[in-house]
Amino acid sequence: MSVVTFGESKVALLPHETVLSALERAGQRIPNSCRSGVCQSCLMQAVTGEVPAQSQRGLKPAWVQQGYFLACQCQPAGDLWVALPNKVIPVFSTRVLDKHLAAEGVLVLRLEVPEGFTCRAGQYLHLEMEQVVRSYSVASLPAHDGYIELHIRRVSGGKLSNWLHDHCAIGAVCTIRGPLGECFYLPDATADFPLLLAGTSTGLAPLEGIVRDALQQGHQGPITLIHGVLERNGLYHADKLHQLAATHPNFSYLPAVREEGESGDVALLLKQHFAQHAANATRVFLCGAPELVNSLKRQVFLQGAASCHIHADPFVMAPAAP
Amino acid sequence: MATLFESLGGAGAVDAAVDIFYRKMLADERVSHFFDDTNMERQAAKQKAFLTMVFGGPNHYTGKDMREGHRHLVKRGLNDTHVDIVIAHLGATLKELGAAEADIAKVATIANSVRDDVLDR
Ligand SMILES: Cc1cc2nc3c(=O)[nH]c(=O)nc-3n(C[C@H](O)[C@H](O)[C@H](O)COP(=O)(O)OP(=O)(O)OC[C@H]3O[C@@H](n4cnc5c(N)ncnc54)[C@H](O)[C@@H]3O)c2cc1C
Ligand code: HEM
Ligand code: FES
Repeated sequence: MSVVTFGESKVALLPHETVLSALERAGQRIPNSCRSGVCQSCLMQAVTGEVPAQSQRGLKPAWVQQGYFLACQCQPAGDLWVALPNKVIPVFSTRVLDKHLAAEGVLVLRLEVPEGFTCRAGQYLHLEMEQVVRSYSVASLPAHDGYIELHIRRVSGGKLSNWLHDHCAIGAVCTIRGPLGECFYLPDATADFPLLLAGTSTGLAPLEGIVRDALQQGHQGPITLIHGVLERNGLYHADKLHQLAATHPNFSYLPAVREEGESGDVALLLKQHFAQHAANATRVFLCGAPELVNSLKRQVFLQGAASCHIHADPFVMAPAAP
Repeated sequence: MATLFESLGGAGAVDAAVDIFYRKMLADERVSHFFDDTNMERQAAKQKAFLTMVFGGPNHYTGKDMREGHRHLVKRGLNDTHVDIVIAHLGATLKELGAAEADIAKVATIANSVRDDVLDR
């Protein structure tokens, strides 16, 4: 008999009982509606244990990879530890290995990879220092590179970004929680679909990681990376990316400088991409300034990208203190 | 006899319809502003809930849920015209997917049956 653990509850499943029914029997309230695997309102995440494929039908691939499943469809063969999506976030202690400026106002911060920490390039984590917690995206391939790289933009008046730029010392200890998010590369049955990545400012961090991850996994399809910045001196890692494009014919790097007119219009560049590549096959990744990310997301969906293939991380900031 | 939900193709039909329908809604300026400040992923899940319901599939929504779920939209001017537009896009979506006219009519009937709840009257 399988045992399902959820928070403080441990329930032994009755024959033919689903995780949803068992948790309800134990007095837990799990969101649900259709109870037949259609509406996805009973979405949960397996922290440990295997869930049957039946309970992952219709979910986006990035969710399947992270152990998401539909509780109303789940009759596991073995024990399961489950949580509501993103409710269980692993915590690690680590320290700063290195910091340097990649451009005016853009700090590259490298952290030690803590024992047991795994993460895909493009996911993000909560960084806690000086009693402040902020989210930052992972630009490196931690398992391969041996460090966690973050790109931090200086936000005027911002607490943590300024502290990291001005005061954080090499060797400083910090807490990270994560990984979170679904912006990462997943190969399909084939590896020849187009990848389109667009970001502004430090929105480049996750995208650069995803590109390297895809290339390392042997992605064959065209990969287009658009980096939008306000002024030319905001472009960073340009040499590295030009280099990568020179050695990988399927990768194009398009810097887009807003003050330089049409060539700097990210929305227009996305549109041009869809004139050349099938929108419904393209996997799209969008990161950075929330307003732009949200409007681009809508744009690519209307231009034909499938909703399950659009991954976006708007870098939302806390509302201004009153 | 197959239920309406089964004859439309069940969960697979909902999966196939959701992007087509939602794209029509977002592209239509008469209704797209109702979806402005909502998160697209969550929206996609809600669209699935909506489609499952009007396709005659299993659901646990009550009239009260429909009232509460749309009350903030009624305050922003949601009215009969918008419901008609939704029903028209639904019909066009189903047509694209090759559904039978009789089934499309049944879907419209279900959507119409909750009109008063959705509009909170
Ligand atoms: C999923 C996710 C991933 C992220 N990834 C990254 C990343 O990789 N790199 C990165 O640099 N950032 C990233 N961010 C943003 C980051 O988490 C922080 O919000 C950012 O670094 C600011 O933190 P802070 O402590 O410096 O500023 P805070 O102390 O939080 O202050 C910023 C304040 O400035 C206010 N503010 C902003 N603009 C203005 C304005 N024009 N006028 C007045 N007030 C204003 C904001 O409302 C806010 O109150 C990410 C955010 C999210 C949600
Ligand atoms: C025709 C009858 C309609 C039915 C049966 C219906 C059904 C539903 C359902 C089942 C949900 C999901 C509720 C939830 O789980 O939270 C929902 C949400 C929603 N509906 Fe409708 N709907 C109808 C008409 C409309 C119309 C005409 C509009 C606007 C043009 C509309 C806009 C919305 C929006 C914006 C949401 C999401 C609200 C949120 O994000 O909280 N609906 N609807
Ligand atoms: S309750 Fe609808 S998918 Fe589980």
